[in-house]
Amino acid sequence: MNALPPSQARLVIVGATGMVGGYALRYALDHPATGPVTAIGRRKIGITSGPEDVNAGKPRRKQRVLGLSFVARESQPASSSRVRAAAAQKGKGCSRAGDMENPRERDCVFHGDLAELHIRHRPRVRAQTKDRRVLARERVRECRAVREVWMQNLLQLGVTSIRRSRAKNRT
Amino acid sequence: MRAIYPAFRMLFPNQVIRADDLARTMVDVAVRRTGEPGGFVLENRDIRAMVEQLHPSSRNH
Repeated sequence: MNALPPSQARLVIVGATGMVGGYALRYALDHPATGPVTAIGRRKIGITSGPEDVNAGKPRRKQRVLGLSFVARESQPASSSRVRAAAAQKGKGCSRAGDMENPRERDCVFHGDLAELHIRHRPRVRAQTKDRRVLARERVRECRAVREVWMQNLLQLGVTSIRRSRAKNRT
Repeated sequence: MRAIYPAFRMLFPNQVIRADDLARTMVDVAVRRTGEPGGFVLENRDIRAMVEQLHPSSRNH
C-alpha cells in the first residue's frame, strides 16, 4: 500500500456503474482532496483518469470487476432459475450459460470476470485408439465423454486382479 | 422524468433532488473529516443546502 498525503483520502465506490455512482466516481476523480479511487462493480466502467489529474503518472482509479454469476457445472448442476439469472447479465463477447444449448455437456465454466467467461476443456479418456489402449489425451475440440470402455481396457485397469483376490478369499 | 422534474421541484421541493447533487454531496461528506463520532443522516433539504454552500455555480441550471 502506498502512503497517501494527509490531505488526500482513499475512496471505495460500490455501484459505480449506476447513474448516481457514475456521477460520484467522476466527481471523486476530479476532487482535489481524493487520492486513489477504487470502484467495485460487476461491469467495466469505461472511465479513465483525465490529463488534468494531479498524479498523472499513477492511476487514481483501480477497477475491480467481480463475477458473482451462477453458472451450471457438471459436478454441481444448478437450478434452471439460476442459469436464467446468469444469462440475463450483459457482457461484451462473453460466453454465458444461456448461450449454450446444454451447459452440462461442457466440462465446466469458470467464472471470475463476467465479461470474460472462459470454457476450458479437461483432458479426457479416449475410448478407442489404434492399439485399443486407454489413453489420457487432451483434445480441445473433443466434446463427447467416454461411454463405453472395451473389456480389454478394463483388464488393463485392474479388474482381473480384483476378481482374483475375491476368488482367493472365497477359497 | 427529466421533463417533469421542474414541476416536482416547484410543488415538492424537499422530495426530489438531482442525481449529480446527490453524488457531489456523497463525495464531499466522505472526504470531509469532521472528527465527530457516530453517523448522521442527511435529508434532501440538507443535501441541497450543502450543494448550495459548496457549489453555488451548479444551482444556476
